[in-house]
This record gives sequence, structure tokens and C-alpha cells, in this order.
Amino acid sequence: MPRLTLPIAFAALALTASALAAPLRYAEDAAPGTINPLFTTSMTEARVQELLFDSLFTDNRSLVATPELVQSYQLAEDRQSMTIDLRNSVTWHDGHPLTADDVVFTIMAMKDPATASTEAARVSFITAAERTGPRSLRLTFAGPELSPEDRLSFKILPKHRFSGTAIQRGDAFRNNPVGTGPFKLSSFGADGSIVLERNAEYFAEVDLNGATLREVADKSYQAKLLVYQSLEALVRVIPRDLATLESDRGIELYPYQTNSWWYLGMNHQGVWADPEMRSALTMMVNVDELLRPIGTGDTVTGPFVRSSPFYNHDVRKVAHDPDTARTIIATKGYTFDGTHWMKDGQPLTFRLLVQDNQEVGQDVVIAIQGQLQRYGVTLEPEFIDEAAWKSRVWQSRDFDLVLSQWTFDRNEDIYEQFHSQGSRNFTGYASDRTDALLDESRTTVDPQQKRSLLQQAHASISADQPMVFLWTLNSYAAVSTRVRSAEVHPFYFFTWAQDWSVE
Amino acid sequence: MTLAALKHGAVAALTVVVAVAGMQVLLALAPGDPIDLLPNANAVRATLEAQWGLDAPLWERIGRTLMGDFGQSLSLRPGAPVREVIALPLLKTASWWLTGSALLTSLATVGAVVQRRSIRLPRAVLMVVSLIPTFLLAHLIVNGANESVVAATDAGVMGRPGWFPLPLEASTLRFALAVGILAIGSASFLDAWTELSTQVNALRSRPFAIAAKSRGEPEHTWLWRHIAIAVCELLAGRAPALLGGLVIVEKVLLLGGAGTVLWDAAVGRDYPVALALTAVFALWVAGLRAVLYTLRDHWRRGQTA
Repeated sequence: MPRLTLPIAFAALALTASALAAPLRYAEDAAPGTINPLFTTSMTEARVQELLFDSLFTDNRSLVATPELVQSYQLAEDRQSMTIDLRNSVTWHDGHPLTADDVVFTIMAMKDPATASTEAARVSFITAAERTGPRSLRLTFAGPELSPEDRLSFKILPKHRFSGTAIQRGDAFRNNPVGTGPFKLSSFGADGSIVLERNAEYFAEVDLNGATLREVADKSYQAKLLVYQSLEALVRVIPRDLATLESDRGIELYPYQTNSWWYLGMNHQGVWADPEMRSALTMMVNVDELLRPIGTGDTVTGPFVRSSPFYNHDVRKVAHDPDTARTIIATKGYTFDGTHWMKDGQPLTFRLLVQDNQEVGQDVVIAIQGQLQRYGVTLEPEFIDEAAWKSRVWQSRDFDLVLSQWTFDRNEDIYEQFHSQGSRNFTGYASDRTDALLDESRTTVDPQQKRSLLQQAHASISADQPMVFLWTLNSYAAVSTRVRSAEVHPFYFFTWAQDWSVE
Repeated sequence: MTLAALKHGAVAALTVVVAVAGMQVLLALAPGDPIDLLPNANAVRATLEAQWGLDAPLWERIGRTLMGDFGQSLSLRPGAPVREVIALPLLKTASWWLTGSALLTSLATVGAVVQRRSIRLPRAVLMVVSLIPTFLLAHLIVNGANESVVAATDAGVMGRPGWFPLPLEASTLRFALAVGILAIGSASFLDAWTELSTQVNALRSRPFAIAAKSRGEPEHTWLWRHIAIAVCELLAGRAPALLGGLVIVEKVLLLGGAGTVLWDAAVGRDYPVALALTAVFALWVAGLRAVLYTLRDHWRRGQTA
């Protein structure tokens, strides 16, 4: 009997500690509009979905796709199909077992035009999904897939909660979601706050005792809430709060790369159709001088971040050379009157569009404006909201220059931005060589060849200078030291949150 | 009474129609729509235009809103009924607005009626503070409180007080700050006090007031009846400004009321939410003015008779 006392005491202690463990409280700039993964439009929504739902594959700590809901899988020799067996111990938050029907249903719902899912493009490479058993299925692809695991990270939905694959945004699932994830919804308040509780039936161990999302629109206020222990985590720290948080012993900063880079885009419909004028602008902008005051990061010479396998380190940065830029502008019929470059009585002036919620965007615009003014070029900046941006920049191409950034997932597919047929190629850049390289990189199944093709695409794009490539900024998450085992995913943040715990 | 009520009611109804139509036209003129905000806008445009009724003519959309058919939110809480999205924020805003209006009226009335030397200093202080615009006053108070507490706790002068930083949950402190700033900022108190003081002084110099005073009757026996008219006019006149000020106070204090929702709906091109809130705000202000002016006219006629 006495031998049992110690284990029982330990077990009681562990149970008590578990019961007392605090949930994680974190802030977002805006409350999620919906928690239905079919209609995701923001990273806030993607992050909370990461806690509630699972995917077929997810990233491990080395950012390599690894099975999550998948027990085993087999890729066909021709790489055009894949058979999958699902884990047999997974249940939905409402107790139903996960089946192959759920996976097939999710893919069909994403593809259904009547659903108008924002995620439809993520399954466009899948031409058929068929159930081959209660927990097994086969996926057929449009072409050979080099690494389909990387693309099978969309969230799986429960078929039994819907009446068909044509799903409306107003479906009750939007604020009453049922997933298989490590946490389940406890409440979704009218004020946008979300409370999640630990999923005791999760197929793996979950250390974190729930999570609470609060909307805090003011970013500097978020930092204060963290300092004064009203929160345990900030997803992204703004540069001006870095020093304060760094000096706080109760807070740990976690640097991460977001696979995003900044650029100064040029509209190729106007003066920027001339490659020499594009070069002149690139030579006038002193990128290092712009970067210094806004944070730490790396300048880039092309459309990939420096840590990417596709980044071509042989491409040289365009030197800051205002004298050559002046010579080029003079050869284009402009005359310098001592203050401005003039042509037909008009000064060389450009409208620069920037999104008004672009972090540190205003600081960068002022600095670029100052630099170009020094060389006789006038910039007229316009800060616009997101809807106006999409309309004026993406649809009607009503701009001379844009300051923005592109963010990519691990696949780093730049086709839409730089292929002449790309849906996001709003600058109007077109190059036969780049098109050929991007087309080939999409179809090859040889990883080395893909790497080589994209490095060549980097060089080709850099030579054409369709935009001034600026930098990648270092991002920092801030987490209270009361949070143990915190590791953040650079894109979805909470991918490994079940292993966190709060003291 | 009936004719006056009908007249003021008609003006209120017209105000609501003009406000909703104006908001719809402004939103239609603004570049971009809620579909533009989606990552695959071009692919889903046709489907969503039909689903969301964006292909309907403007007058039809305005008509639906005026008939109380607010529909569903498009971007703020996609798919949620608009009534659900705006109900709680409207309740919050109504409570701040009502309390702010009551505080403003009380302060201005006391300031105008009471002649005691002891209230001169607080009244003067309020008047000076009242000169500060609402947004600036809110920023000064919030940032002043936050920064001074940060400095004091960092210096070890004091421990972290329970109220700092201003809690995210509803709290008496945040409520009091919102209401106080609303009632005093942007010359609210100054204007109201000046208006009521002028009325009270005019009343005191009228023959019936002098006669009552000479008979030794206390002032309150006649003053409050007459001042009620002035208060009605004051409230009716200040209602739109107080509602506008509340939008700013909500943003600065991160209160999440109807003003914040209206702002976010306009930025997110959530037409149904923006139109519904415009209709409610217009009805609120115009309806209140109609009621107050009808009461005022009724009392005035009673006094004349």
C-alpha cells in the first residue's frame, strides 16, 4: 500500500497541474470574419483554423511536409495519382469518425463553382478524388506532381455537417465549426473574440490548455498588453516595439522568415515599358538606405527570399548609380531644369499607390520620395484601402508605381506574378524566356531541374527589372516566458501549438 | 399636436431616405467592391454578384434597406445576418450615447442654473477642457494614463495597477472615459452651457420671473418647466454631433461599438452592414429630433395659451 502512495501523489499532482494550466491568450488586429476554411481571406482566419482543423499533410519542425491525417500513402510511378490511407483513430469534435468521404467531400466542395471557395486554386491540380474504402482514397492529378504532399495541406471538413458540396458563406459552419484539430471551439463572441478548449480526444498529446483570441486593432496597444501580462503571445511585433519587448525579461522574441519580399512595381503600360527607364529607376533607388531605418532584413535581387533554394546568388545587385540614371533619362528626351526632369513642358512625375495598412509603408514612401526628388523625379503618393487597391491596381491598372510586398507559401510559385498569363501579373511584365522557364518549372518532376529552372528565372527576371526588388524583413513573434516549448511556424504560426504550455 | 408630429415625422423619414441613398451612392462611387477583396475575385465574381445581389440596381438595394431587409454581411462576418452583426454594437453605442447625452445635459444645466461661487472653478476647468477636440482629448487621456503608468511601474514607484492597461473586457473605467470624453470634448459642454445660460438669463429677466421673485417664490417652482424646452432643443441639436463624436471615441478607446463597425464596413465594402447602420443612425437622430421638436412645440403652445 505505501508503495502506491508516491505514484498516486504524482498522478494527483499532474492532474491538478493540468487543471490549473492556463490557456494561451493572443491578439489579432481584426477578428476573423468566418472560421470556415472554404472562405479564408486573412491570415487571422488561417491561424485560428490551424488550431481547429487538420490537413492530410502538415509541416514538421524542419518545414518538410509530413503526414497528419494520413496513416500511409503511395505515389504512383508516373506521379499522376496517389493512394492514401487515413489514420483510424481520428474523430471530429462532435464524435463522428473521420472517413475518406470527408476528404473527397472537402475537395469537391472547394472545386464546386457554386461554393465560390477562396481556396479553390489549392485543389486545381486534383482532377479526381475517389473513395476506395472507409478510410482510403485515391487522388488523380492533372499532371505529374513532383511533391504532392506539399500541396495537400488544405483543411479537411466534416461531410456530415453539410447537405451538399455547394456551400454558402452563410452556412452555420461559419461560426460553429467542427474540426479534428487539437482544439475545439468553445465560443465565438459577437465582439469577435474566440475561445478554444483542448480537444481531449485528439489523436496526439495536447499540452496547451486552450487558446483565446482577442481583437486589438491598435498594434502598439498589443505590445503593452503583452508587457503587462494580459496576453501571452503576439503574432507579429511592429519594428518600433522591438526594443521595448527585447529588453523585457518576461518576453522572448522569436525571429521567423515569412517568405515575403517588398518591391516597387512599375506599370509597363506607360513609360516603364522601356527597359532602360526601368533600369534608371532601379539605379536611382538606394535600397540599403531605405531599409536601414525600418528594421532588419536582407535586400533581394529577384523574386525569392535569400533562404530559398530558388534564389540565384550569382545575380548581382544593381548598383546605386544616379549618374548613369541621369544619362539614361537625358537620352529619352528629358531635360533637367535644375530641379525637375521636363518633357513637353511637363515634369517627370509618377503616381505611387500604397495600401494604407501596409506596415511601415509610410516611412518607406517618404524615403523613396526624398531620394527621387534629389534626382529630379517627383512622386505623388496615394494611400488607399484594400478594396480600392484591388480595383485600381489589380483590375484597372490605374497606377505608375506601387509599393507592396508578395508573400508565398513553401511552394514559392511565382508563376501568377511573373508569367505573361499570370493572374497577378498586374505590372504587365512579359518575357518569352521567363515564360518558358516558369512553364517548364511547373511540369518538371526532377527537383534539381526545378531548382535550376527557377534560379534561371530569377536571373531572367532580374535582368528585365520589371520592378525594383527591395528586401525581406525579419519578422518577430513575441511570446511570454511563461509559455513553454513555444515554436512558431513562419506562415501559420500555430502549427505546433499543441506542444506549447502556459505556466 | 398631430399636425406638428406629422410634419416632424415626414422630415425624419426624408432624412433616413436621403442618408441611406447618399451612403449607397458613396459606396458605389468608391473604387473596389467586396468581391475585389477576395484572392480569386475574377474567378468567383459572376457567382458572388448573383448570390450577393450586387447585380441589382442601386434603387433596389436602397429600397430593401429602407424596408428593413438588411440581408447578410459580405466581408466583415461573411454570411452572418446583418441584424446579428450590428445588434450588440448598437446596444453598446446606445448606452454610451444615452449616458453621454444625460451627462452633458446635466452638467450644462447645473452650470447654467447654479450661481454658487463654489462651482465656478470646476465649471471653468470643464470649459477649457471642452475646447479640446474629442479625438485629441481621447488620445491625451488614454496615452497620458498609459504612458505615465508605464513610466511609474518601470521606475519601481508603483506596482502594476489592476486597471492597467485599460482592460479589453467591458469595464466601468472605459465606460466612464468614453462617456466623459463624449460629453465634454469638441466644445460639447461649452456650447451646451452657453446655450442654456443664455436661455436661463433671458428667463430670469422676464416679467413673470421678476414678479415671482418679488413675491418671494423660490426659482425652482417655475424655472424647470421652462428649461425643459431649452433642454429638448439642446438634445435635438447635439444628437448628430454626439453620435459622430462617438465614432471617434470608439476608435481611440477600442470599444467596438456601432461606429467602429460602420467604419470597418465602409472600408471592407460591406454594403449591407454599412447601409443598415446608416439607416439606424439616421432613424435614431432624425426620429429623436422629431419627438423632441414635437414635444417642444406642444409645450410652447401650452405656455402661449
